[in-house]
Amino acid sequence: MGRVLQPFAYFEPSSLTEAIALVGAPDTRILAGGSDLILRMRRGEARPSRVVSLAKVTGLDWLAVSSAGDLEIGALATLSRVRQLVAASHQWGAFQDALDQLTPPQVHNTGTVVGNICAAVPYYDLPTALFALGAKPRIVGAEGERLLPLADFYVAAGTTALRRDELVASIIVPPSPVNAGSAFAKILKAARRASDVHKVNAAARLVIDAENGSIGEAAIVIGSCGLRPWRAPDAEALLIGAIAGEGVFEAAAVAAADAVQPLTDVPWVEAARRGFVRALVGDILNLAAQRARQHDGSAA
Amino acid sequence: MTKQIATFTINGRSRDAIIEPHFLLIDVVRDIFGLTGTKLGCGSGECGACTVLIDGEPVNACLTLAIAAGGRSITTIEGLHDGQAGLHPLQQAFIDHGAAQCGYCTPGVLLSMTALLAANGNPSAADVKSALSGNICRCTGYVKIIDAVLDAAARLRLRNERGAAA
Repeated sequence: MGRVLQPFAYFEPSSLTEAIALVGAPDTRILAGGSDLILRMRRGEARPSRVVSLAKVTGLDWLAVSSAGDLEIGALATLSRVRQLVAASHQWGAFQDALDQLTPPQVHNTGTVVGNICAAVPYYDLPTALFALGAKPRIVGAEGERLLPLADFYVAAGTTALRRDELVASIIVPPSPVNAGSAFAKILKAARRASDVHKVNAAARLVIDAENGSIGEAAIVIGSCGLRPWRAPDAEALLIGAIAGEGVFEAAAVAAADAVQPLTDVPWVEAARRGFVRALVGDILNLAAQRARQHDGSAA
Repeated sequence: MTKQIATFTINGRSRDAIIEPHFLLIDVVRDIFGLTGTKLGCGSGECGACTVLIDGEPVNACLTLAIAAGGRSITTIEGLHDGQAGLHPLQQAFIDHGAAQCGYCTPGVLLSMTALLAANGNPSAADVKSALSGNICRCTGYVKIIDAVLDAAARLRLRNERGAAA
């Protein structure tokens, strides 16, 4: 019994204040759904001496769209609940794409969106999609509350800007105007060598003027190509002000591929990685534009 | 670390166990309760052999702390039956279609499919495949499993219609 995980002290606070007081101690990990943390503990990658479970903290299973249209996802809201709401809302296509492609189904019933974000794993999908949608984690700590864009949230692989006595209570996804559309896609393959590209993911969001078809806002985010998801500002600059269409999307895809920083010194691996980015960005820009024109940001 | 008595509702029965916080649900189910129908496969949430239902939803018992499942309703393969003692229509359909070979994945598959049929009484083959995507079978190639699930769904619909008509 108990032969797999090493023993730890377990805490189940019932309020956020109590939880914040507990998470500050050294060698502490926060447990929500557990699909990332327990796996890491099984593999011996995480060996915390203290685990603080959020399961009994009241208010963290919050999941709702506010009167202003923001989607707020509490730290205990499971992927399956969020997926249902996002699918019904027809607003956040990139998020819906990423949730639909997240496997296995069992993880949807225990895993949480906030946990997925906080794990800060460079190849996870939800950070890429939520970054493109401008989502902001709501961080609470002993010194109060702050909202931080995902761009500033990730410091490096496995590391976030969370201070020791802070936790993410929820993540807020801003509403999508009717002429906005977004999409997410990924390429996944077996890594046969350590240097292989096993995954690339990307998300895009476009706001297109319904009258003249010009692009007002553009966000392109690339994941799994570095220690954290990153935006491709050169590619975005090509899109802003241009008339949405395949030519400009292809040019932006090339610019995004050019912005990829090499992760290895193997030329063909880097060529493959850039090729994947180019293909993905072209696809998601077309899909995002199609959704923006349909006045429906959803994947349906 | 601290031992404690936790109460589980497992297959409809309330059962107590002395556990520690680091015990995983799969170990408690198999080693303390002796319900060895739940299998450990990959131990990383990819193969689905350890699938059990918590409050009716499939989860990986290998990635769930037992303490987190306390007080919730757990169903293992031993709890799957039709009324009193007979086989569940899904189990009968698996036998009729020869949908098990080595059988190691079968308990997890049956529980995932039970949750599917509870949520959707008339699934398409695509729905079945999607719900099966967290359960890996290395023997069958899935064709017979999908056939069996669709057949079980049809049998359950027929039975419900008859029940409604009666």
